[in-house]
Amino acid sequence: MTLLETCGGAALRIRGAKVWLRPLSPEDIGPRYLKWLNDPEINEFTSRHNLSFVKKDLFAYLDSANASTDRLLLGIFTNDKNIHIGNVLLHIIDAEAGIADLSNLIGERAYWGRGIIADADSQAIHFGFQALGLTKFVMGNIAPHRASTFKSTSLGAQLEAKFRSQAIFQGKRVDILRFGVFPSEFYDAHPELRETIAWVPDIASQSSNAEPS
Amino acid sequence: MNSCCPGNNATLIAFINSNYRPVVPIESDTELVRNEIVDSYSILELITFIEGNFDLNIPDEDIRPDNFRTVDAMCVMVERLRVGNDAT
Repeated sequence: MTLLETCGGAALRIRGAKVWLRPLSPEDIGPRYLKWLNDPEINEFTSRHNLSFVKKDLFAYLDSANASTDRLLLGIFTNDKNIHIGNVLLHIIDAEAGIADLSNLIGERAYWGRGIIADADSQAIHFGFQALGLTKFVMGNIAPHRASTFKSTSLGAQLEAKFRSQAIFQGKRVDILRFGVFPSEFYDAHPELRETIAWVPDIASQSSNAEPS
Repeated sequence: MNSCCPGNNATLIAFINSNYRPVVPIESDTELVRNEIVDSYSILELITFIEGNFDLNIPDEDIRPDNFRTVDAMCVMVERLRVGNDAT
């Protein structure tokens, strides 16, 4: 069974304060999405920064994600105008321990600086903890991407590791930072989400999200 | 209102009111993160301003919301980092 099927399939909807999340379909892949991935500024801090993509790559990526047993790719859509502005990827990297990596992309510059990514990420993490029974989320960025560092710590994540000079950015060696967040830390940062269920269908939690002792 | 460092305090308030144009001008104890005046995008300008204006480097470990929650919190961080710089 794919992770998408576990989560309710194409019917999955996760509602945030500013954006909502849903699985992507081939109809969502168009020139705008392709433009995001080939835009140097949008990908400046990512491993995609020196790559180029064609539409076929996006279809292959979508097919692979939707057929995966450990990845859930969701599009980010604005609540007000229903515009597809980016994606968030939940990747279960250790199913037994209940640990997932979270990454994202906001392709539409007009939506930068409006709390969109914070809303999308917090909803994805909330869904992971409550609906999937995950016990920890991890995320990372290169040290110069200080916006991402602030985003992670705003989610309640703690800086857990610094891999020294492990990436090249603008011709210089830079550190990679890794963050992690447990449910208690996340809900301390987002108490308003603690008792809410913001998704349909309401899939049952498969395990408790107790933290390891 | 708790002004831990009046000079720094006024400088930061002026910068935020001028650059982020909040609906109501902020004070030193205005909640900046909770009120979405500062977020993961706008924080970049603020960090650059603090580092340039106060001649210090904000380490990765300090880029977290409690240090930017209010101007007062930023002042505490600035003073702590300055002391750290002086000691080395």
